Amino acid sequence: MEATDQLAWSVAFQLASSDRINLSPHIIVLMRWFILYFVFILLPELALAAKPQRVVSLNLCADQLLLQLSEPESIVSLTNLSVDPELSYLAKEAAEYPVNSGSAEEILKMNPDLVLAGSFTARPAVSYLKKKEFRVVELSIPESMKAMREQYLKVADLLGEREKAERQLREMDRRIAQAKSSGDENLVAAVYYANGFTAGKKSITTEVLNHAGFENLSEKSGVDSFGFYPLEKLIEAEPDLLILGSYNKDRHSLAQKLLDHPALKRFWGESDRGQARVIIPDALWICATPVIAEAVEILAQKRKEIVSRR
Amino acid sequence: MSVDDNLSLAERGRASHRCELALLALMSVVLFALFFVSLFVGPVSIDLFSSEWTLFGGSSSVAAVILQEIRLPRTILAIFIGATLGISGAALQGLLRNPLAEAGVIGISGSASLGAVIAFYSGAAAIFPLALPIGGITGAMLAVIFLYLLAGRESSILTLILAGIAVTSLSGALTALALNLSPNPYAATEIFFWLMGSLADRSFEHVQIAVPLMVIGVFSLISCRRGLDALALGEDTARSLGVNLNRLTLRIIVGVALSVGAAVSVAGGIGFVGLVVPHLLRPFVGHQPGKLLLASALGGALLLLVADIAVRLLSTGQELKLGVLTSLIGAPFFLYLVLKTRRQLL
Repeated sequence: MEATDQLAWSVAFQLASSDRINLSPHIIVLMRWFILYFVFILLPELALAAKPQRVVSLNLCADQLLLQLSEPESIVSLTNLSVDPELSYLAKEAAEYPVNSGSAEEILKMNPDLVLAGSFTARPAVSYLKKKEFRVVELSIPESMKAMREQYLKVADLLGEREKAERQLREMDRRIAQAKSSGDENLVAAVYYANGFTAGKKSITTEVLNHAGFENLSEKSGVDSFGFYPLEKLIEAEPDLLILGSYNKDRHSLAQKLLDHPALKRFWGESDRGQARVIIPDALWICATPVIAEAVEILAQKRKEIVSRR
Repeated sequence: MSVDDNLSLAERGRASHRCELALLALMSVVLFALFFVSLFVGPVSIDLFSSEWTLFGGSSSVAAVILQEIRLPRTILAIFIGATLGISGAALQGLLRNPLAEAGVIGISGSASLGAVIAFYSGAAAIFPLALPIGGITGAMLAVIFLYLLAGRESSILTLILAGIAVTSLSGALTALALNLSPNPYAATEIFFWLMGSLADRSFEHVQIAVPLMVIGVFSLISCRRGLDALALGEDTARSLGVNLNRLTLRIIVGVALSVGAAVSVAGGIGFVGLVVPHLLRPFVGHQPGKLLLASALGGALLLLVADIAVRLLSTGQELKLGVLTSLIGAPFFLYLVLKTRRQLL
């Protein structure tokens, strides 16, 4: 829509101001009216559209960004995962909004002026909405703090909330700098999620661990960004800190039952060998937003405990 | 019948007995050897000679934890589950006198999966661990009783197989439904485990809840060997030999439900073991259904342990499901059996 308007505008302008082409006076008059229409009616509309009024999210992490950045009244709908406190850090805030399940039909009815989607979720809806010329912005999964910052500011710009975003990022930097420990003990931490997955070297998790003073175990392994890590390998590596994904005792899955495996309790259980385990709720760092500062704080605290016990 | 014939029959009987004993001994030896092989196959390489001593000790070295908490329970489960699948296949084939009867093919495993899924995802198994095998056993029991009422001892091969397809489809759909209704986002993807089966990262918790029940089931089936031998001669002959057919049937139903139900509840539905093993071993035991039971238990244990070792050797990333491998072997074998029995089917 925008693109075609701009094109028409420039063509009309060129035609109207050109004296090489002989235009009949009627056409010139018509053109002028068009130009007036563009300048005084369409352009202000476009300018308004720069700050979207009806934003829909199709992705859990887009939910988090919206909740932290957007004016509450411009959020039309969030994903159904946004209200799950295990996955969504801002589940309480999300409860205020209608949820969608990511089907094109639902989104169409909401008539959004901006759709935030992930690059892997709700794909059929995303391609359909794009075809229907809705404004769809796809978010990637940031693999570093730098990428996270860039994306955060990009979304903030879309929403016209740059200042807010910069303020939040500064606060994050402050918290991380404060949490950072100064010891030089070389400690290794391993992250173990449901199904035996771990975050690899190209992930923001590794940077969070580094900030808290740990080396990520999978930096040495073949895991690139997110991948499977055999239980036996984890035990063999004997990391100083074992970080487990959250496990809700009321909602059962084999995937999360793995985190309860007796083999994991032998090293990081009650019998103390100077190793520690900690549960970091998935909601805290599943999405890259400034709240990961809290994960850094928890981990840095854990590091102090381990060091003091040795 | 001449005296000569009698003599040769007796000789053949003795020969088959010797052959059977040799087979059982050979399988036991190989199984014993594979037990140790299985302990030393995995993503982490463990020195065979230095760590053998840590198998039962309280040491908390890396090797000890991996051996004791991961590989030992896995190996024990492979042996017991393989044995129950093998023997239950042999018992079902004997009872129903149908060469294609097998827990997976006729829907008992699928139904056991459904029972276990309900017990696990409802949270019952978290409060009371035995709920898991009890769920599996209940599912298996319902399927066996339903199939028996529907197809019975004397029905055609085709009726049983078709009834089995119906039970498998229905229980598969209900399993998918139960998993989709679960509030846990991971649950829906776990249908693959329940349909295909796996022994990856099982622990002694699973050994504790399932193995005792499987053992009871296996003993119940082994106690049926005379009855099954007699039944092979026809129902009337069996009755005239003093076999109580109703009691025999009940013992087999309970035995199959206990062993398959408990096995499926901790490892998912691993298919075709009970089909392949009895068929391969039948010639070695003189085609006697009774003798086939023990041989099939050993053979099943052997096959599943080999398959589980192969799965570990083949997998680089996340492990291949064990049932994928047994089905790759079993499904073509099933087809071969169908072609072989086609004359009977038509």
